[in-house]
Order: sequence, then C-alpha cells, then structure tokens
Amino acid sequence: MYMTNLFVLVSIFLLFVVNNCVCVDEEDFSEELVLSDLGNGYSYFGFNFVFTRQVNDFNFVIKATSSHKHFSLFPRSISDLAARFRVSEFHLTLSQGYWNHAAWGYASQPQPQGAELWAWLGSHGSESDKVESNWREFVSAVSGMFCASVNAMATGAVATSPAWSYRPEGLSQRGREPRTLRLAQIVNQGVCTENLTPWSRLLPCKKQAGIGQLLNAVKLHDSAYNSVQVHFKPTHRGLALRLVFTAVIDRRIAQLGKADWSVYSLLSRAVSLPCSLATSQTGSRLLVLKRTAPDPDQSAVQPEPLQSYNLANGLKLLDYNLTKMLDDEAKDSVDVKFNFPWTWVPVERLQSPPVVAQKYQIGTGSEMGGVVVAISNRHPSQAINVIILEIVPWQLRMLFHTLELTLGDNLAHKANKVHYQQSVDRVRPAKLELLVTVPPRTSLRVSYRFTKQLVRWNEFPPDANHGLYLPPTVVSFVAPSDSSLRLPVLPQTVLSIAELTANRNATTPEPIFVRLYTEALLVNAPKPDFSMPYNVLCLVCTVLAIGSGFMHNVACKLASVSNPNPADKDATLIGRLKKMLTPWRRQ
Amino acid sequence: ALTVFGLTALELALCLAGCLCRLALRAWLTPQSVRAWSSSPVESWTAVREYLALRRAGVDPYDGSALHLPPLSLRLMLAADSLLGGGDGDRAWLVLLALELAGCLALKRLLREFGAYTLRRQAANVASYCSASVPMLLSGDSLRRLRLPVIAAYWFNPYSLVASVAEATTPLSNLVVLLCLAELCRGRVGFAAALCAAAAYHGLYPLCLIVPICLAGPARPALLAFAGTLACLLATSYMLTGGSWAYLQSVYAFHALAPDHTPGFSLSWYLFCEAFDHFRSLFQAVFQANLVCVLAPLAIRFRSDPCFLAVICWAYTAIFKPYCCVSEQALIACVFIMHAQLHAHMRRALLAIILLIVAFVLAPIMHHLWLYPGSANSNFYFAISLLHCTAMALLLYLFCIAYLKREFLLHHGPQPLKFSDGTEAKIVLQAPTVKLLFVNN
Repeated sequence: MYMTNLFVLVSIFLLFVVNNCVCVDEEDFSEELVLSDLGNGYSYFGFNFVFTRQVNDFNFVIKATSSHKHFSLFPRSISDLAARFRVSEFHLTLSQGYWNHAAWGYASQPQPQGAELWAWLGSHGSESDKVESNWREFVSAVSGMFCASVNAMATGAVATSPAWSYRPEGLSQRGREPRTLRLAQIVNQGVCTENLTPWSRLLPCKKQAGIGQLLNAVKLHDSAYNSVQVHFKPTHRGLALRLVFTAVIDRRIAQLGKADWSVYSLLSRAVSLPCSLATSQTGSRLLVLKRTAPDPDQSAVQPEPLQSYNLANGLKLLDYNLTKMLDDEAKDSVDVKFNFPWTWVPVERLQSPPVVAQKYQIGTGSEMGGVVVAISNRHPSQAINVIILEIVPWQLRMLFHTLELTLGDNLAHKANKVHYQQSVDRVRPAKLELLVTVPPRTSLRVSYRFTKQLVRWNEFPPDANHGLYLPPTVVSFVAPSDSSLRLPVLPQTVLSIAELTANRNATTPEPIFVRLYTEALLVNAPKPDFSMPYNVLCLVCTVLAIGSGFMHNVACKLASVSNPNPADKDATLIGRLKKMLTPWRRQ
Repeated sequence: ALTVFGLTALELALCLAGCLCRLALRAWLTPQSVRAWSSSPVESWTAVREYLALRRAGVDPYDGSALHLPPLSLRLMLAADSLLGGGDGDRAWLVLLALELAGCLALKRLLREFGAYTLRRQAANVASYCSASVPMLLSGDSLRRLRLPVIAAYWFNPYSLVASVAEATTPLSNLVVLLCLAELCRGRVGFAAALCAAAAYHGLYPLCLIVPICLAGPARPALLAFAGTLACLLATSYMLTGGSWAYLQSVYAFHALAPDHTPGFSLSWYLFCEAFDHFRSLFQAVFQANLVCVLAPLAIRFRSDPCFLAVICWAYTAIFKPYCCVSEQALIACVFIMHAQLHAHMRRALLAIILLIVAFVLAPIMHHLWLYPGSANSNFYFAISLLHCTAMALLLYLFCIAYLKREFLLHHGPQPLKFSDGTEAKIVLQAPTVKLLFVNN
C-alpha cells in the first residue's frame, strides 16, 4: 500500500520534472481595439487578439505526438487542429456584409462576403497523398469548432488552389518544405453569435476583462459589416494566432444620425478591467487611427491619448493603454469619444484608394450569363500590376473563349500572364488568374460569359429559387508607396508597436500588399420542378417503352391477313359487350 | 444538261435557295436564341471556339467539362475554318455551310446508289414475288423523280434550318454517315466500315451501323477495316493531345453516362436531372441497353435488306441517344422521303407529322417561358421534348410497318387482298406462333 502510494507520488513528481524541463514554451498574449471614423457616418471597430508561442521543437506543427505539451495562453485546440491535419497555416473568415473599399479604404485583413477558409497543408513526402483527406477532415473540424456550416468546403467542387493570388504569410517550419494551398469560399454563409461564442472562448480573459468586455454580440452583429476571423501561421520563432473581429457600424441607423459617438454609445459596453493575462509590455490597448492628410478627420477625440504616433500615408495613431489608464487614474471604466463639428463628411471629400474593383452581371434569363470586372487604377503616375483571381463554380460553366480584356481604349488587350483551369462538373470549379499591368489613370475591364447549367435536383442549396452565388473576384497588388492609402488598420499593429516606439514619427511609407474582394453576385440559374422525380421517371420510361415496344413489334411479329368475319368481331370488347346484352334485348 | 458536281440546274437552285435561306435566318436570329433546343452540348460550334482558345492559352482542352468532340473532328473544323479565311473560329457559318453542301452531294450520291441497290435487290427477288404485284415494283424513273423532293427536304427541313442557325456541328457527322450509307448501298463493305468507324469516332452512336455493314458483305474484312480505322483515329488523337487518353473520358464516357443536363430534345436530360442518385446508374444502363438490345432482333428481321436495317438502326439511336441533335433527325426524315415506295403504306404518318409540327412550334415558346420570364416551369418544355421523341418514334414505327406491309403485298399480291371465299382480308401484325393462313386472290 505504502509502496504503491510512493510509486504514484514519484511518478507524478517525475512527470512534473519532465514537463517543466523539456516542454516549457514561452507564450505571449496581447490585445487591442482599433477605432476609426471611416467618414459618412461609419465607425470602424477592429478587435485584435494576438497569441504567440515560441516553440523550441520546430517539428511541433508536423508532429501530432506533441500533444503532451503544456499550454497556458495559446489555445490548445487550434494548435492540435494544425498538428493533427498537418496544417502549417490557415485563415478562416466569416463575414456578413461587404467591405466597401471604394468608400472605406483598404482593410488590414481583407475579407470576402460569407465564409472563406484558406490553408497551407504540408505535402511533404508521404503526406502528399493525404492532402485531400487532411483538408476534408480539417474543414469538418473547423466547421465544428466555430459552429459554422462550412462543410461544403470539404468537397473539391468548392475548394481550389490559386497559383499566384495567395502566398503563405507565415514562415515554413522546415525551410522550403512543400506545401499545398487549399482555398474555399462560401458566399451565402451567415455569421452570427453562435460563431462568435466559440471564438470568444479562445480568449484567455474571455468576455470578462480587457477588450473582450466590449464584444457585445447584439450591437456588433447589427452592423453594416462584421467579420469573425482566425489567422494561424508559423513565425520564425514559433506560432502566431490572431483572432480578429471587425465591425463597421452605420451611425445613421445605430444612432439615428447622431454624429458624435463613443465606444459606449455604439457598443453599450465599456472596459472596466484590464486583461491581466495580456503581456505587460503592450497590455490591453485601445488605438485610434486618424487621418491627418490630405483630408484630415474632423473629429475631436477625447480623452487625450497617453501617446501618439505619426504614421506613414498621412495617418496618426492615438494610443490608449487601458492597463495604465485604469491603474493610474483609478477610473471605473474607459470610454473614447469622437466629437464632430458637423453631421458627417460628404462622400466626395474623401479621397478614394488608388485601385478600386467592381463586379457586375450582364445578360438576361437563366440560360446564359456574363460577368464584368472593372478595375481602375486612379494613381496619377504609377502603373500597377494586378493579379485577378476569378473562381467560377462548375454550375456556371465559364466560356474561356469569351474572355475579353479591355484596357482603356484598347479593346483586345492581352494579359501578361494567364492561368486557367477548366471546371469539371461536380469535381472542381473553374479557376482563372490573370496578371495585368494597369497604367495610371486607366481602367481595366475583364469580361466573360458562362452557361448556366441545369444541375440535379439534389445539388441545389436549400433555397433553390434564391439563386447561385458567384464568388467575389480577388484582386491582389502592391499598392505604390506614395499613394495616400485610406487604410484604417495597420497590418499587425500590436506586433509592430515596439518598432513604432523605436523609430517614432516614421514617415517613409512602404509599399503595401493589398488583396481586394469585389462584390459577390447572385445568379439566377435554371431550376427543374422539384416535385417531379417519380413523374419524370414514369413518363420517360413510358416513352422509352413505346419506342422499344414499336421496335419489338417490328422485329418479332409477321404481317399476315385476318378475316374480319363476325366471329372475330365478337372477340373484341364491344362485340363481347353486345353479346352479353343480347339475351336482355330479346326479353 | 448542265451539271455541277453531278447536280442539275434545278438541284443547284435548291442548294442556293437553301444557303440563302440559312444566311437570312442567321441575320435575323442569333445562335444563342435557338441553340438550346436545336443543338446539343456535344455538337456545338462553341466547343470549337473553346478548343481553339484553350489550346492557345496552353491549357489541356480535355481537362474539363467543356468539350465532348474528339480532337480530330475539332482539328478538322478548325482547319476548314482557317482555310476559309477565319483563323479564330469565327467562320462557323461558312464552314458549316460548306459541310452542308458536301452533305448534299453525299445525299445525291446516296440517292443514286440507293436507287441502284433497290433495283438490284428487286431484280434478285422478283421471282418470289406474286405476279399480281408487278405494278408495285419500282422503276429507275420513279427513283429518279425522288431527287428533287429529297434535296428540297434536306435544305428546307425546319429543324435543319434552326440547327444551322444554332451553329450545330452535326453537318460533319451527317456527311460521314451519308457517305457510309452510300458505300453500303454500293456494296463496298470495307469503305463503309471505315466510314462507320469515322462516324463512331465522332459521336459513338453510329457504331450501330457496323451490324448492317457486316450483314451486307463478308464480315471479316468489314470488321478489320472498322477496327483498323478506329485504331488509327484513336491513336492519332492520342498523339495530337500530347499522349493523353483524357479525351476518351470526355467524349465517349460523356455519351454513355450523360452527366450534363442541358435541356435538349432528348429524353435523358430531365430524367437524369430528376433521378434519385441510387437509381441513376440503373437508368444510365437502361438507356444504353435500350439502344443495344433493339439491334439484335432488328438485325435478324431485316438481315436480307442491310440498307434498310442501317437506316432504322441509325434512326433509332438518333432518337433515343442521350444527346440527340435535331439536325440529324431532319436528315433521317430526308432518308424516309427517299423510300418513296413506302409512303403509300404509312397510314398514320399525318398524326406523327402533326405532332412534330406542334413540338417544333411549342419548343421555343416553352423554352423561353421557362428560362426567361419564368412564367412556365421546366415541365412544360419537358412535355414538348417527350412529345417530340414520341412523334419521332411513331414515325420510325410507321416507316418499318410500311416496309413490312409492302413486302407482304409484294409476295401476296396488291391490295385489296381477298380470301378464297371472296371476303376482304385485312393485313395485321401477329406473333409468329399463330397459325397463319396465306391466301392469294
């Protein structure tokens, strides 16, 4: 008895030792909320929660057996997911509404309408055969984890791998190990509190403290645009996970047109507790992004920030360190107010971004259709190379010979590079990637036509009469450095804050990689009558039987003569009836 | 008399009028407006354009669901296109018109060979005919008189007119099948088998013509010629597509499995669109089995007249194959007209023709109502395609019955037939088990 107890104690002690010696990985968590006024009465909220984990063992992601590791802040479910399905990097976004880049500027994390998932899967050696099954299982797992019905992405009929438009954002664990990209978009996927809840459970302070306190689902989902995102990628020292929630609230609806706004007035919540699990270096932060040039924000922000930085591209960043503010000033809560001298800024005063893309449909009826993607380069002097990615579901069969590029007045422009993959019915969508140089002050028009296929009755989405969605066109380019971008959020603000403080008032703008998503289109496709399966079966088989019956008659019967005498007449139905009636007649 | 390529002035005038009629229709209607119900996903000039565009972009044309024609057919049409001054596949009308003209010449040749064949066959069988049936026999003159109506039917059949507007590529396969039939009538079995192989290479279903060809002459050389030609065509295609057999999948498996449900004039599109998944393979098998199973009894029945057998086999597959093309069916109507001796015995042909006219008039209306304003649903158009299939099957049946009746009358004397006791006899079809009483009047 004593011996057993002793043995157990020793084993537990040994386990602790082993765990602490071998597997202590340094983890880090920081959070921020970026606020900005987008003009025209739109307020931007960008929640960023960044987790980093330094991994000593670089095979971590590759080895599923590393599950005995200890996790304190980094969500273990995400790490296990990646390890299990050999996912070295993935990006999941669930968005509602359309990010109007022409009016709001470029988003730091671009998101299409609906759901998008793209992942780089390890395809090293023996894993190359398992990419398909790994992707399938990964999608199911993600779908379950975030309560999103994105299972349709698992089938190849939706997923594709673009050649140029999507590059890995993180570093590969083992140098140049081969990776395979899978991208899937489902346009009509809604986003709702049931997605936000499992997402917010990944936060170390949940919704109890820090920025998370502001995640008021009722207000955030009742917005012009909102998006729940998960970005997981490897870094040079380990793993990084960004949980992002973006919302654009239309104050004309939310506040009945009142121009002045504050975090509290729009979200009905305020931060009363800092998240003590956030790293002391950055802590919980509230950042306000203001335009200073060429058309400065008219809003006056209260209270005065603790620090502010002038960024490139005529932007100013006001930094509110919530941890400090709540500690120092012994306040109950922190609120940031934006006061305006007038109602809202009219649209024409806003400077539009250098490249704007738009997509619309041409043609009538549900037999043939067409699409036009218009991309304009508004930069005064610089030509921009754009990569256009068009994914066309197999239900809408793209006619490649109808692809036309019009650049300015040149009606038959040729793309610098074309990558096209045809669709295969029920197997994969069509994929078109174009590399085109758009000269300054010129617009490019890409158009093509497609036939709307009549698909099987069970291949329609639940509401067949709603129509089919054509996913958004993805336009990728490197925005020129001297353009005054309307960019509400800096990419990965938290991670670069140290650099910002190091070289304060940095003004040299850098070229920025931008990925734009156009509108998704709703296409009216032909529909069969869904109540007909048995009737059709019966009718078609009848006609088939008539046809083969005719041939049977011809092949198996001989012509002969018959005697139309009364005896034969009696043999007919009417004859027999008459015969039956004769005794009655006589009476 | 003046002849050009063996066509008389009147026939030439018909050809010219036919061409002008097509050009006028093309100016009035766009290909898109009639494509759906007069062309098929297989036989469409769109495929030729797509093939050209894909090859220029360096994409494997058969790695997708767009193309269902074999590479040599597409190359041939592209070559014709560039020969006629196109180059971008934009001379569809000219290429197809040229193919239709060639088809007309082939038809003329078929008429001549068919006439000779019929007279030959008649001379061989005349000893077994009833002496009273001699007035029913055909003469060279009566066959020659057929030429104008047949050529007129070839050019002015409404279905061939709309198919031409829709830029259906059927004229190519029609041409090959016509040549094959002409060779068959002439008795050159080897050539016929080679042409049959070419037609089968293009669209799979003319494969059934190999049965009458084998019955018409020595089977072994015919089969050898068939296999040799087919192997050559397939191997050439293999080399043309850069050493890939992918085209087999997109051409022949497509015909066999009917995965595309584009509304057409066949039975299959709506059936496979509506069928439950677990029934689908059964019905795919039924569709193909229907075509194969009918061949054997017909071959036994009509083994003495391979030319007639060829016509009905071709007609049956053209009606019931999954992707039928009305232009092919228009040609079949032409061949029916060619058998003028049977017209007198086709008693209910009027019904079939009226049904066809109804289908022709209602098809574009129903198609438009379904897909454009949405005021009708798919069942309306489906009903019309059912009607069309039924009418075509009925027409084929009446044609076969007329043939059997005429054969009977040739052996037993012309109508009205009388029994020995003077009562009038009625000709009926009976299962051969019943004891038959043959009486000559």
